[in-house]
Amino acid sequence: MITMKYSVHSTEEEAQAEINRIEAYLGIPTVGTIKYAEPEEVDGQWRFRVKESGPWKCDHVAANVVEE
Amino acid sequence: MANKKISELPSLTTPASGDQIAVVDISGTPTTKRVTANNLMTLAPVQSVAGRTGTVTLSDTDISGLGTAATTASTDYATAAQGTLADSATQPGDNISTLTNDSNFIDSSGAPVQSVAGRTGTVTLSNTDVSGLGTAATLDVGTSANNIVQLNGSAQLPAVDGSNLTGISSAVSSGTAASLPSSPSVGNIYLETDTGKLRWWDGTYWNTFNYDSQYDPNYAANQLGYSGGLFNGTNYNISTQPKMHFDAAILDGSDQANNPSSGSAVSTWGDRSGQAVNYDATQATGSAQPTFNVSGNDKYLSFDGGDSLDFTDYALPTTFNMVVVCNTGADVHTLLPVGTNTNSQYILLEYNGKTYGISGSIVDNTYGPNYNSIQQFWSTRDGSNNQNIYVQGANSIISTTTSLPRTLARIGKANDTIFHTGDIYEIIIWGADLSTTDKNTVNSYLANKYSSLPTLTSFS
Repeated sequence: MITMKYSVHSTEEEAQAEINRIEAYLGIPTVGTIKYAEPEEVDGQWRFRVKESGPWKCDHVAANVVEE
Repeated sequence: MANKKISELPSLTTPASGDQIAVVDISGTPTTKRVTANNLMTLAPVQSVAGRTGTVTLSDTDISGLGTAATTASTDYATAAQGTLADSATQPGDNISTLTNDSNFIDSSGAPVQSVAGRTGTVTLSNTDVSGLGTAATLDVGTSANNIVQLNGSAQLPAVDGSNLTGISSAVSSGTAASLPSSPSVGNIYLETDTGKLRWWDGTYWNTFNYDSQYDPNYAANQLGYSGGLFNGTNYNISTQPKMHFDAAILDGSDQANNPSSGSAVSTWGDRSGQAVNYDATQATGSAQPTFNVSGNDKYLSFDGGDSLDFTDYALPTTFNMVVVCNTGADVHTLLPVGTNTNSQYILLEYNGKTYGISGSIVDNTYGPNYNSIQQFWSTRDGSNNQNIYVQGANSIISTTTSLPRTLARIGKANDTIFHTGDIYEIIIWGADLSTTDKNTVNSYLANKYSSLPTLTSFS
């Protein structure tokens, strides 16, 4: 079973703020890429997936990273 | 001879050699003896001079041991007075001060050089004493730091390491394809040592000289050709233009020369079918973008289980063909190259060891159940609603009949939480059922292109 990493937050606003911070870190928006991720609500928490490799890798800088 | 008086002797005739002369020996008792002229001559202290007798006149040649002075005229020699003057004359080694100065003589003030570099006496010059020298005058010739380079006897530059050359607009480096410089300058050239490809950075992409462009005849000849597409009249020409054709080797659907560097995130996978309706697949969310990769001659997109690309919905007609080259990651069992716009609808899916078509499923223990290495699949439906899933050419693993509609909408993901996890090399979808000949031509094209594909069984 494959597992992926998520940045997990209490509110949608916190998750979006973290996305904004990561976008600034990665240089997004750029050609063809307008955002890093969208927050999704799962079990009362807000999370977004973080890349573990490639040019958008950010699992090493994202906050509250969990592996599921 | 008669006795003669002494006084008579001068008038006598010259005696002959045998004439006798009386000699009185007065020692002791006086006695008289006779002697001839010859006897007297032998008793003479000198018998001859210079080998001659008689009246002898001598010359310098008659006398041995004479020096050259003996025959030199006395006028050639100094007189005693002259010798006296010579003895008192200025001799070598005498101080110049012994000379008497007058107006015709020079003194130090009249010397043409008064000083050198402001100095007199024994002067040793250095570079700082000479004006007008350039900076090169004090540098050494060589190939070390701060040396002046000198051409050799063949007017060639000496062996200077290329890395020491600066200001060259095109820096050449080398390494593996995975180690392409991350911050290149426009014009940088990079030799991929593991692929043998020469690449150059145009400011946006690492272009490759492996094929100059898709218009390279050698490259074009091995493409899938069809009327209306990028290529036609190739070694692998078919009669039906596909509805969409995603080829990772031509990522933007236009020119493989535009391919990005390996490891780049993919926001657009261009449709190279040439159809009026463009099915370019896009993803604007970074965390959902697959990655473009290069391995040898193969190009592919890697999907990590959360990636997908969306394209304009395409409602499949009854008859359709899809061929795909893909795999799943090791120990990951979700193969979903093309997803639909509706949950739980697929035209090809391998999930947890089970393979699905539009309808029907099978545990493929012949070629699967998992497809961790590169594989080729067909998903087809003919005009009689016969739907088949083929693996490795014409090996059917699912054969069923169904008229269920399907609308294709994305790559790498169905409209739910199931994502493709692995690599996708190429996807071709036709709104028709290809002829057997064309299917085999497509297989030949793929087999030639992807050397790692298993042997593909021909359709018959």
